[in-house]
Amino acid sequence: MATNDHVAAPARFGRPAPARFLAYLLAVLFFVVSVDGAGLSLTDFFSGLPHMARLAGEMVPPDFDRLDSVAMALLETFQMALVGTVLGVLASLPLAVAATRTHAPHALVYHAARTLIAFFRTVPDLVWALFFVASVGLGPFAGTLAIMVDTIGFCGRFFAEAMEEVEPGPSEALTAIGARRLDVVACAVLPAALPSFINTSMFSLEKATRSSVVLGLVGAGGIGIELKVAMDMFQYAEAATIILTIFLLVLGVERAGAAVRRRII
Amino acid sequence: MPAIVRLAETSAPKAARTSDLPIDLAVGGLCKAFRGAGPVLCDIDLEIRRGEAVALIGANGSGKSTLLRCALRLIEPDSGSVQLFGSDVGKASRARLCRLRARVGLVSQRHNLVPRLSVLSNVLHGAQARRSGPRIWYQSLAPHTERAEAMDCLDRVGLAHLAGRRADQLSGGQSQRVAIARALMQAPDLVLADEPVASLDPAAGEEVMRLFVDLTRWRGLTLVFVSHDLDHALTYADRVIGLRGGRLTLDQPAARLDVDALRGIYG
Repeated sequence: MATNDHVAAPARFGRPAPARFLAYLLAVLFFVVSVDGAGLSLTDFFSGLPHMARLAGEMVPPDFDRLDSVAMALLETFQMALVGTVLGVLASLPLAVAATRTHAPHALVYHAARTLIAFFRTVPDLVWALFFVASVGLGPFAGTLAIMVDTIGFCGRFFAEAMEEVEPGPSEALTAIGARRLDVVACAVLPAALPSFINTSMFSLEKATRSSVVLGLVGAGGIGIELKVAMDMFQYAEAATIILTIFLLVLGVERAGAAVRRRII
Repeated sequence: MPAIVRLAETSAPKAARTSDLPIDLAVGGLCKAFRGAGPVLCDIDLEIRRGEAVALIGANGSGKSTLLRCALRLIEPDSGSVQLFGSDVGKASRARLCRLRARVGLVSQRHNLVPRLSVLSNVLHGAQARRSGPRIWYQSLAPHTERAEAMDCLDRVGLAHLAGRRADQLSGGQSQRVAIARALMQAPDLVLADEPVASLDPAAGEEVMRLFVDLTRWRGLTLVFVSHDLDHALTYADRVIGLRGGRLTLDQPAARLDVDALRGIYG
């Protein structure tokens, strides 16, 4: 039976507290200032439209004359992404265990692992590529190392979070029978976090495939250098072929990743 | 159930109990309070001797589960002492604590199996009380003797035919039986069971409880089980301990008690 005849419905929108209102205001003001800082210009955009149209026109039809060498560069790009991701995933596993509050052997180890992962993650992969090109020279090895380090930063964080979110019951059951820390992690934590690991690893491979295209621009192997040369030499039709093959590769990896996730998880 | 029939045939008569038997679990002046929840255990003193079957009863929040978890130092008591097999749990080193825990089987209300692993792998994990390393992580890596032993434990609970099934595909009763098989695999001296049949329907609960008590008696284990089922407490325990508001208010042989006397604990 309804008994709330005299109870007014709550207001649709609450009145924000002064501090929160000030925070909103500052955020909006900063965005307005940022529009100017980002150099947003409608004049430049509209004056650039004919050039965009001309460029797009010169890309059609794509030039498939060098498709074989483009395909080889594309294969190298994917190989860099695959090897860098697999090595990165393997390296990030022990680091992620050390970066969990629940399974780290010591608080110092936990903080050290967290800091290292954060460092790997916050430095962009292009910067890592520049560093490795300067260290080991031009070529795919530098790119593979850059992808590996970037993957450690990405997977290390998400693996650690997945392990911390695992239902604690099985771990506690094994701890209660005197199992060692490593046994508990291997038997109770890793199997439970496996779906999340696979999910993260597949996203990491997709991310690495996109990254490996760009890494070539700084000489770290892959198809990026082919794209840069084609653009620099005004061979837009060939550039269109390269962009098309990159699109197909990234799309293929994303579709394959989605299929693996559906099948395994 | 064939396994249960076979068990009944092989059950050994209960050993005579005297005060000369060694003390498996001794608790002295145990206190525990949780932040924001006040005291959960207040000055608990009790001794449990080898081979005893003890029922621990009390209303929700009376401290039963906390007492079991303090006994294994899964949570740290605020004060007081816990001795397992004559060793002070609070002063034990990490390695010593692992060895003491290895002698205690813990069966919880939630079976706490690893869901994505096979039943056999889950049972095999009980052997981690005795040895460590990758060969007992998964059944596919396990030595022949451990696999055979795990299969035997599964056979004891009547689930050998489900050895290859994933643990998350079992019913509640089957899961709890696998948890019991894991405890058997551990070959403990003392079993602590925290409402082992609370999540099961009455028929499955009765069946699992009977199996559980038969197995512990057959192996001559000391058993402490938490239960809200007063009939279970009177049927399966030699002694009943009652907690009320974190204090020990009852400690008597089951033979001297009846259901009405036990209901007072919940009043």
